[in-house]
Amino acid sequence: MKKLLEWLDDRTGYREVVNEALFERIPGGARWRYVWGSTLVFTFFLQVITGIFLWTAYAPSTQTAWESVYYIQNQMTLGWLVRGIHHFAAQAMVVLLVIHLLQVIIDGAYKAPREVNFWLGIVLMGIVLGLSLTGYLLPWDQKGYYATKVATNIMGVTPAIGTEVQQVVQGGSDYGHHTLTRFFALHAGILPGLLIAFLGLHIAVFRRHGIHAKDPNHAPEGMFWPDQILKDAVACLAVLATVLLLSIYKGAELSAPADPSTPYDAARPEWYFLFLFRFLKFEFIDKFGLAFGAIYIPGALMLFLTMMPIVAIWRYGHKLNVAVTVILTACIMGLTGLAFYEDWYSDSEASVKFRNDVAAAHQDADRVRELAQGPGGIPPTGAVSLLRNDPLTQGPKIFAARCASCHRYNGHDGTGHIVMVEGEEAPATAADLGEFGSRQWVEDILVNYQEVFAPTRNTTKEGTNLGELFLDDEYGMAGWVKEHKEILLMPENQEALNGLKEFLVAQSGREDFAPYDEALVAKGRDVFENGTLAKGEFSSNCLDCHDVKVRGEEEALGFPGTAPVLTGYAGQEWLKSFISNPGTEQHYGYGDKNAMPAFEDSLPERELDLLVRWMLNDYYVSAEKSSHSEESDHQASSDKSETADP
Amino acid sequence: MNENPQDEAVTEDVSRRNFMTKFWSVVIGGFVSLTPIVVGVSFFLDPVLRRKKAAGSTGEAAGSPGEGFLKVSSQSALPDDGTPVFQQIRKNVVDAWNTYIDQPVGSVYLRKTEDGTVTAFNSECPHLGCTVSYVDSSQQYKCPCHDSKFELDGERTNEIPPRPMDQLDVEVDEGGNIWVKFQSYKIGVSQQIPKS
Repeated sequence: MKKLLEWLDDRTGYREVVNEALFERIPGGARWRYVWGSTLVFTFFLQVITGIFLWTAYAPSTQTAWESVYYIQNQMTLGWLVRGIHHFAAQAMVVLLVIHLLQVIIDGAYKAPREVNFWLGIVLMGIVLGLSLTGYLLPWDQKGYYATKVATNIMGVTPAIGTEVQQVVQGGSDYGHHTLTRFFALHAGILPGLLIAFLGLHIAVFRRHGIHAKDPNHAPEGMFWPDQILKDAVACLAVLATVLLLSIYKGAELSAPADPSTPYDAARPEWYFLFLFRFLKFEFIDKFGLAFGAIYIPGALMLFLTMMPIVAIWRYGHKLNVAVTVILTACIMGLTGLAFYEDWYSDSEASVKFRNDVAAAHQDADRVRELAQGPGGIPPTGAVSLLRNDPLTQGPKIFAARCASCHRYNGHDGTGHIVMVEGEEAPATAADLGEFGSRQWVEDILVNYQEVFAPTRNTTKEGTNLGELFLDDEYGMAGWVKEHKEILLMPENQEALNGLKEFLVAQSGREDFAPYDEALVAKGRDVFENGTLAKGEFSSNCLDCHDVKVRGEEEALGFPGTAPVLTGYAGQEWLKSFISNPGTEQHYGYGDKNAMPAFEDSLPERELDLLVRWMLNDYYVSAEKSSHSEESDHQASSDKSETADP
Repeated sequence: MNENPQDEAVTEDVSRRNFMTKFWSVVIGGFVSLTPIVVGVSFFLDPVLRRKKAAGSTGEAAGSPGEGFLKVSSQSALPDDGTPVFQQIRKNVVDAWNTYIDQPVGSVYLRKTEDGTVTAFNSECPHLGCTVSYVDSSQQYKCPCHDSKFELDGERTNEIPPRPMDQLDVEVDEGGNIWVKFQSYKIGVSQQIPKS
């Protein structure tokens, strides 16, 4: 063995290289304060290893980037861990870099003869920040997409060459496939290559000058191997442990797929850029133009950093450098803290909105994962269509935009927000549709008509209070309910009422209310047609005013009367037809009660479809989620009944 | 040293040969290394070097009041009290090798003013390109990123954004349909520079 190694050394001279690498003298002995550089090399090593493996599963294009990252994160063996390590080691690298830089400045290790190495370090810092910027976009999720857009827009305001630089980086005037291919080439090829080259130079120059020992008489001289290496290894272990803990307990986030047409109000840069983000919120900075705050000031700070070794030639230069560094660090930490406070702890309107936006973003992220894992999976057109075509995601937004100026949905605008006008809660002017089409809804129409349509009193139609038209109409439904409410609520007529509910709800054909009790439906039909009651009687039967063609039958039961036709009532076709044109004869045509606009022109077919399917609970929900929501529905209804019966 | 004239001639010869050797080494070496670099860099600069091929027809819809106008909504969809309505804009989009039909490309705020005319603002914040929200309680547009604020007429109420919101051309046809000439502008500068 020994002979073999001697032969190898004779042919390659490896021993000299190894000796030089390992047996570096350390005046003053091995110390903990020298570990930072090594931990940085270690995190870079982590990034290269995890990065190359992520590369084997990542596909950069707008239809595959998010999808492949989703697959890495949720399906592949230990994918969440590989991505977690890459994600958190990247952040660790920035933190360690700042510590390393601060230590070099405070110890004066940047001074002659180590100026060039300091500058090499600054170049390395730029490369690392470039890596984190490019990496943030690659998952092509909402968070990365909108945060990175801000960064490239800042590039765009660079004087003279901004527009061109932005176009070259983005691969066009807007984000698209080529933004990803370019960012990926930068992130996985160009920048790591540069990093390795500059890191090689940095270490070579470092070895040339030796370690900067502030107090060489601190302890007896030590050796890099094994004295310092042990300390370095322990520090690296601590870094790795932190990264692993974060990966396991926090996990790398993947928000919903990037969608240029869906605003992402929860957009924030990575936390270590928050100070810059907060800085650009100052009006007195922005009024000098974006380039001033976003380019000139950061540029001036970088220039100052670069000039430090030269400033230090002056007698008090080092003290000045340290003082400025301390002040700047305090400012950066202050701004970061301020940004955190404003987003997460302040009670201002903007902060509350931000937290709501973050919650909504998490909801979208959960929902798209649910859909991707559903029976349809991710279509070849990409996951972005999953949310765009999802009634549960789009329905509430459409309701809020189109319906909530009059209607409510369980008291809110569909998305969970209270409808406000000029700082106060706006009164509804039409029915709350949260229970629309359910057995409860039908019961409320039959016995609580006044309550369901009470909001109509808050508005007028052509000068007449709409409530008068709806609620005070003795010859309409209001009058009928007033007359028959007591009868319907008699214990003897319990079955008749339940039958009516079952019969009417069955007309919708909704699957989420199935199975329908056939006997009860038949009973209800009898009540509807003939007014058969156990006690008391109707002065007029439902069929006298409402015609209906029972689901599955060819012939209508009666003739169109003076009230809405109930064929397919509250089912998809009926609801679409109603929203498109509520004023037609089969809906509210008679009696001139209708105050709802026809949406057939203003609401595109696909939005109408999404809205209706949302209102009728016609969308995919995973088995796990649906059992949860049933529980919470149950919870909610029992809560309601508790508060209703004091 | 050069006592022998013949030696001198030899040295001169060597130095000339040396020069030629160096010269051609640099020229040939430079050529072979620069060729792939120049070709590659030009390729990389494609976004600014390529003359845009005329974009495929975006499918001018029937009844369009002019080139580039898109039908986005109808007058009846806008509340009379002047509250702005957020409206997605859809059109055909070409992204590198893909053409997407009827794709959401952005959004506008449509609003019926007191005199019944319709105005449209691009919802993109001119500061850094986030999408502004409409805040009902203060009747203002507000950007969730850096707190830019705008009045209903698009004017700034603070100096964070470099210019007012970008107003777009609107036409309302006889049927009450609203047509908007959708356009995005360069972010972060005080002038309105249309993006290609």
